[in-house]
Amino acid sequence: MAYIPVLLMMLIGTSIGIGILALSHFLGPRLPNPRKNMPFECGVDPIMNAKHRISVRFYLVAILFLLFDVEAIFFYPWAVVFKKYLSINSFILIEMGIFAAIVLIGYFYVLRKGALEWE
Amino acid sequence: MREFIYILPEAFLALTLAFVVVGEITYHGEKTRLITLTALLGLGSALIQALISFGYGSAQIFAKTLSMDGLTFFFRSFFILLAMISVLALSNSKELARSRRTEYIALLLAATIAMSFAASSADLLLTFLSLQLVNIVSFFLAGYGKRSEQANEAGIKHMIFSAISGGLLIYGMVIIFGFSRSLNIYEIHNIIFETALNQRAAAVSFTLIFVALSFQIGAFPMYFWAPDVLNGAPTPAASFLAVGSRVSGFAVLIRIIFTLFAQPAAEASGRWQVMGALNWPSVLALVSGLSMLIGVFLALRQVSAKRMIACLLISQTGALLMGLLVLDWVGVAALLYNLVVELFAVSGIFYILSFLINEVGSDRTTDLRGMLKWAAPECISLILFILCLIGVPPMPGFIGKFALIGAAAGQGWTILSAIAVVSMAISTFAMSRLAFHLVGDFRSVSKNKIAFSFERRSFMALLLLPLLLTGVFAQQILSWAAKSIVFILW
Amino acid sequence: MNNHLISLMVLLPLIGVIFQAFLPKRTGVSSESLSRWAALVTSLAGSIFGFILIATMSRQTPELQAVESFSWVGAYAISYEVGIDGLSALLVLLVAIVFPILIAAEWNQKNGSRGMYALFLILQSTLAGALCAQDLFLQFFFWAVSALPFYFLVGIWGGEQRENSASRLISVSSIGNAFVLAALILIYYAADPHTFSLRELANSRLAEKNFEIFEHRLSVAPVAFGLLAAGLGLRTAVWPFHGWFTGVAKEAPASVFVALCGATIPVGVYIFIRLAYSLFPETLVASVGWIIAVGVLNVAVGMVSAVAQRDLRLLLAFFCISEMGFILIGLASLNPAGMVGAVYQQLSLGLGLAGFGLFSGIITERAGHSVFLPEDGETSKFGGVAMRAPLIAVIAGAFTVSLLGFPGFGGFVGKTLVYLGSYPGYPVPLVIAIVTMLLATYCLFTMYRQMFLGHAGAESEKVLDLGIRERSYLLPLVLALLICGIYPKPLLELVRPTVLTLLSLVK
Repeated sequence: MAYIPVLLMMLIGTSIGIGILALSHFLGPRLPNPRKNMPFECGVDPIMNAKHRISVRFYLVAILFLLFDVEAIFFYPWAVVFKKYLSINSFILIEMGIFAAIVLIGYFYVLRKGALEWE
Repeated sequence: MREFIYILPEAFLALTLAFVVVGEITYHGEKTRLITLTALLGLGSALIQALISFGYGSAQIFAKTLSMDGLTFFFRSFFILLAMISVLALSNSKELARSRRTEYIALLLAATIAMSFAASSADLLLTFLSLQLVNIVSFFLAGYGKRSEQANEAGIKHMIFSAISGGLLIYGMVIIFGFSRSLNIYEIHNIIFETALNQRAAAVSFTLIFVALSFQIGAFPMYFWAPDVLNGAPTPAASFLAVGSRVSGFAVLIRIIFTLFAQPAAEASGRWQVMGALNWPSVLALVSGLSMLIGVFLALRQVSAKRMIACLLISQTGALLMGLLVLDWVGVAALLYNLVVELFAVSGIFYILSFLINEVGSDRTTDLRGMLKWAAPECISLILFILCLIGVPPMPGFIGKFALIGAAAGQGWTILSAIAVVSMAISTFAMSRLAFHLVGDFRSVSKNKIAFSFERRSFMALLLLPLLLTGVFAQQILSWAAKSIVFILW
Repeated sequence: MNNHLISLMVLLPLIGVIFQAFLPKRTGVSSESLSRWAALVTSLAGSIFGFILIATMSRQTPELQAVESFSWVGAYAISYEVGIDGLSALLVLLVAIVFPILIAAEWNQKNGSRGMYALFLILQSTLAGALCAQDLFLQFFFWAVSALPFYFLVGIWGGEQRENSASRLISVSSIGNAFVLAALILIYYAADPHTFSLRELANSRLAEKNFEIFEHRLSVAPVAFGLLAAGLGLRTAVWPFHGWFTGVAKEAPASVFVALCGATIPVGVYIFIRLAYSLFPETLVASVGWIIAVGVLNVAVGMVSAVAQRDLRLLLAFFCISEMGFILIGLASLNPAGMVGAVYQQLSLGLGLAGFGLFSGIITERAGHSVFLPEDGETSKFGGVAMRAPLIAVIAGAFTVSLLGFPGFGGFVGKTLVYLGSYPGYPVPLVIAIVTMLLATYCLFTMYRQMFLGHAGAESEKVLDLGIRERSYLLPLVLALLICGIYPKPLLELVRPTVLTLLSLVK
């Protein structure tokens, strides 16, 4: 019951967006022009065909960023309970050290294999 | 800390993995011998530790996410042994360039760690996670021959199927979690035992989980990946996948089915009965029968030797499922015995096939014509290994098949046992066609003989001998398997 | 007495196989002759143990002798239990005689001789094991393994169409084995407590057990009996299932065919006798009429087909089918004389077929083919061989006459006992069978006349007389047949007590 306003807002937002597009599509003038139909590339003339392949380096960097970012995320809950467990014994520090070491080995592997080389 | 001793084998494996990765990034593909040796040493120590751990007794460790019981110990040793055999078999394959071997070994080790965790996990999430890790590493292994189109296809197929099955698995698990509010399978068992799950929810969750796991084991609804993946992957990878991912699927299946969907029978110890009102043994029987028939009829039509073996493996999976649906320790013991036999038989088959493919360049049966005269011991061993897989006497596969069929027949599944016997007979035809091509035209002038390689022959003997021993000492292995499945329900 | 004669008899040929497999690879004559002599020696060693076994058997008792028993897979009550008694004694003798002779016959094999010897040794070991096994699982194990070597023997060393006939052979054998396996599982689970030991199964009264399939209750005994009969019938080429057999007759080398019809088929019939009498006495009694009918059909169809054959090997194949019919009549007569005759006939038939088969093999080797009867209008290819090669003529004559059942040779004793035994119960079928036997005389004498008597034919000079090697293995066969015919008493005394005991179980 308490989430009805959210649903309403979703509906209103969607309908406004669709409505404006629909209105402009049906009511607006239709005057196609070669320069108007070119693909948009930040205001300059398009350089190449849109279908050319994108280098895989972008993908590699993105995926590696994702992996290490998730590792960073894992640090947050650990940091929250760190103080409490540190008073018992130092195992919590060692455990996170092992985790970081495992990911570090992965990092060195990536580094030495040249996945982060740009050229 | 005391719990850490239970996962010492996995810790050794992780250390070995670290060493192999460091070796790879230091030497960049040189000194593969050294790295292989390191890997073998690590695996050996993990195996020794796994065997020692049999004496530790059972426990649930790490906040009840891992269950260290007989089943875990059995499967852990199994997987480490499988990894050792795969690493040894690697040295003779020309499909993988020498410089790429270290990464391959690293992948093997990662898969082994994942499989060990899958077999020992008592937590729904950890099961899902480890199975996903097994699958992810599997598609790297399947697609390892980067330049080959077939390998790429194999990898992508494996990825798509495993993604679907992962989704189905987690959906099924979520339904059960929603009902029981707990992730530990033993606690869920207790909760369901008291207040049974709704019939429809149980049916849906069982179907989802089983279909997902049927991908892992290669049984009826999701068997399509097996011929393509095992054909396209480089042969050592195919061998590892054929045994490893299937057996890890079986490990998870045993645990989940016996804990979530069955309960110990009231009247006799060692027997189970279905929990709740869902009659899932019939579903399992249907799947098993269909897998056996489909696998065998597909195998008859194959032209390529690796695909034929893959289809025979589908049929074998169907037979193995019979061990589960009888809900009896006899069936599960027979299942485990068959897995041990399969380990050696399938590794042997793929090893010899990789050798033949090296020599001839393709594995189509027409190209393998006449290999018997060239390489007689290899071809004879190949025929013996396939006979073991099919379950023809005198190989121990026959004892294993007989144990499974007997378990089914004893519980009254007569049609299923009849189907199993029929599929055994038909698979003999398929094997005989392959054997016939190997024989070829025996009287024609033979080409020069293959160079005698001591390590190849000794490796074949290494696989054949334990196989024959499992036949002679069948009783010991069956009772050991029976002891392994006595696991605790907390 | 727990001696190990049987295990030695079964295992020694296997040691020969391992030796053949690991023979050092020196090319040339020395390596070949080493493998030949090794094969012959191991085969003879196994046979000698067989002979010792028979010689030391005590007569006049129906009990199992030379028993050995170890538990193998206790969980399924499978044990390694072997023993010999009257039923199997004669066939052990047959296997012991036939296989060394076969190895000697293939002395000059050039292509892959080691493999051939190894396969023959495997056959010898598994057939001996199937004969002596007293545990149903063990017996099936040996019996099923004995199907495999034939596939390779025919497929590798056969004639033009060897692929086809080998595929048919393995398909039919697999189906037969599958039926027997199904029967085995039914029997195992019907017995209470579950066991495979023949001794315990005999006491378990299977006739009263039922099992369920498709919601129907069926009685175990008829279904298992039927499955057994079908499965064994497929592999022993009983009349409706003989198609693969005649195919193999054309394509297989002579010694392989002898191993099939002279050794494997009698062993298959023995397994049927043993299991039918011990496990299914009531069903057997009820189906006696069927068995006699099938037997008579075998005799008639086999003989009529034999008359039409032009090739020695096919003649032999149909003869074998027809004689099997006789043995079936004998064992279904439920009469001591008939059964003893059937068992004795297995031995003499096996020896006679072995001899005839080897003789046809010699002709094929010499002349390249074994067609003795020309197409209409042509003159005989062979002819007058008796003048050029008298020894072959005499030996072939001995085998022919033994197959016909003339007095003095082994065939006579067995057949007469079968006639005596089945006449009281089934006179009409017997008369039909005897009438068709007259056709046998016709066709065999025609063959003899075409080949050995008369004018010399085009290819007669190719048929040289027997060499020393061939004499050395054919003469013992003739001798054995003579002894079986003239002095059968010791062998008959071995068989009688067991047969009487079995029949008393049935009545």
